Amino acid sequence: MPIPAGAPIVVSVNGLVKSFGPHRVLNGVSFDVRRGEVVVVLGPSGSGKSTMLRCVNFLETFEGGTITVDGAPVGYRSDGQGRRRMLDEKMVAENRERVGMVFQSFNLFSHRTVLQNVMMGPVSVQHRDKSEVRKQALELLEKVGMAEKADQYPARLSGGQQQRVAIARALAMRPAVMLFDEATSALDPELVGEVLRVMRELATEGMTMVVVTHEMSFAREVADRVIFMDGGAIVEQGVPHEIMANPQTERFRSFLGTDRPDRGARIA
Amino acid sequence: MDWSQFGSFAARYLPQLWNGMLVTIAVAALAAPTAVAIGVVLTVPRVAGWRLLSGFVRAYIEVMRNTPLLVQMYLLFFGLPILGIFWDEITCGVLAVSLQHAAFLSELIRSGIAAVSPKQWEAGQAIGMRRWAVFRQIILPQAAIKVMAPVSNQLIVLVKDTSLVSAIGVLDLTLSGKVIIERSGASFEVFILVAALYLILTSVIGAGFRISEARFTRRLG
Repeated sequence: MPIPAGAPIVVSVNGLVKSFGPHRVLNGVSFDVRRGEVVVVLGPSGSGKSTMLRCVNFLETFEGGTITVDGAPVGYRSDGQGRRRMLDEKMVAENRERVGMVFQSFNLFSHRTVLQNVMMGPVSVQHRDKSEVRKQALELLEKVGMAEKADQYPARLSGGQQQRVAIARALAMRPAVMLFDEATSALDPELVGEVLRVMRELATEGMTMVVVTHEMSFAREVADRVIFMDGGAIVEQGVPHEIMANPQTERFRSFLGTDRPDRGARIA
Repeated sequence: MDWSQFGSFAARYLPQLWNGMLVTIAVAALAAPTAVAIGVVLTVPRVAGWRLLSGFVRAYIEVMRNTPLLVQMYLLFFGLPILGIFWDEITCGVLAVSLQHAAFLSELIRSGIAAVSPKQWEAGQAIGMRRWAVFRQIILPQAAIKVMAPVSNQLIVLVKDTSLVSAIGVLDLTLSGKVIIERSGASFEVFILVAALYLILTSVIGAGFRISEARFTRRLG
């Protein structure tokens, strides 16, 4: 489903630079994500794709470049004299409300039930009416197929079930964009499908998504745009059926070659 | 030793031992919450990352953990009067037990907080929670469940350690036993009774903790 060029920009990353100590992991990454767009980020491990994603909700600091979500600056602002200042905690937290994040390791709150996990953000952060939140949370759990487990604790659930709850938890904040950080990489192969199905459904509903993944078929079938990263930079990007069928660089070609499903890599 | 007489012997001295036991319970009941409270206070600078205060806390913990409780108790009871401070033996006993066990408890609480995965912090922050809210609503409750077992162990050690207050003249269960031995000479029989009473006390506490612990840790899986 093509995204009209005039659709408003939700996430804008400009010249993002980030190092861990002396090691530069992001070397001037720039891209925009428009409303309703599904961007899949591919790349070998160590290419910086997860770090880039974590910068978008400021779980990582960065040294250079700017990021905005819904027009609001992420992490830093300019003080008017060209110097960048870190935003205070309150503004950082407010920004994160607009960004839903799904982690590789689910990270559900283990001392809370499934329902309480989903309700926590809207109730404790957004101070929304509890009975309204509860209704919304149950609808979301229904949507991800976890309604009947609403009163279970996370430890009782499989990885795939936990990840679906984590998706519902992020959606409960009504974010402008959802970030998926290798959401299926920690799952047993037979559980990957149930999580990808939920992600596919979100995509068809028009959710704006940035998805870091190794699932080639998800990229091929669901993405509006594929970004291939290597060495901390965007090497190629474009419509999946074009660039994945006909990669322009040797690096992307060899990456696709080594990760093809028929060579025993992951199958969605 | 005539064991056929043990029943009547026990019946004769149990009321006196029971009075001592009440004193032991009182000392433990005062020392345990005091130790937990001081232990929590000692943990704050280290979790909050206040460098200078953390240094003092670490030094305190090292000294407390590495000197005998009995010596600490003597220092309070016999040392403070030289400084013009006169506290009765119960106060000194309770304080000594509290101060040392606070050091151990603080270490347990700190490691419990550190044992909660940093990913829980990230997950909380990712839904827009501020750090303090994450700490209070997510980290602390999980840490509390994690430290329940080690803290209950520590409190059982605390109950047993209260027997040292007998050395500064508090008429607790241990000293009551000694008094009876002075009179009867039956040290074996008396210490069996004393040990049995301690065992009952610690068992009750241990069982209480195990029940609440089982309830919570089942959730964490």
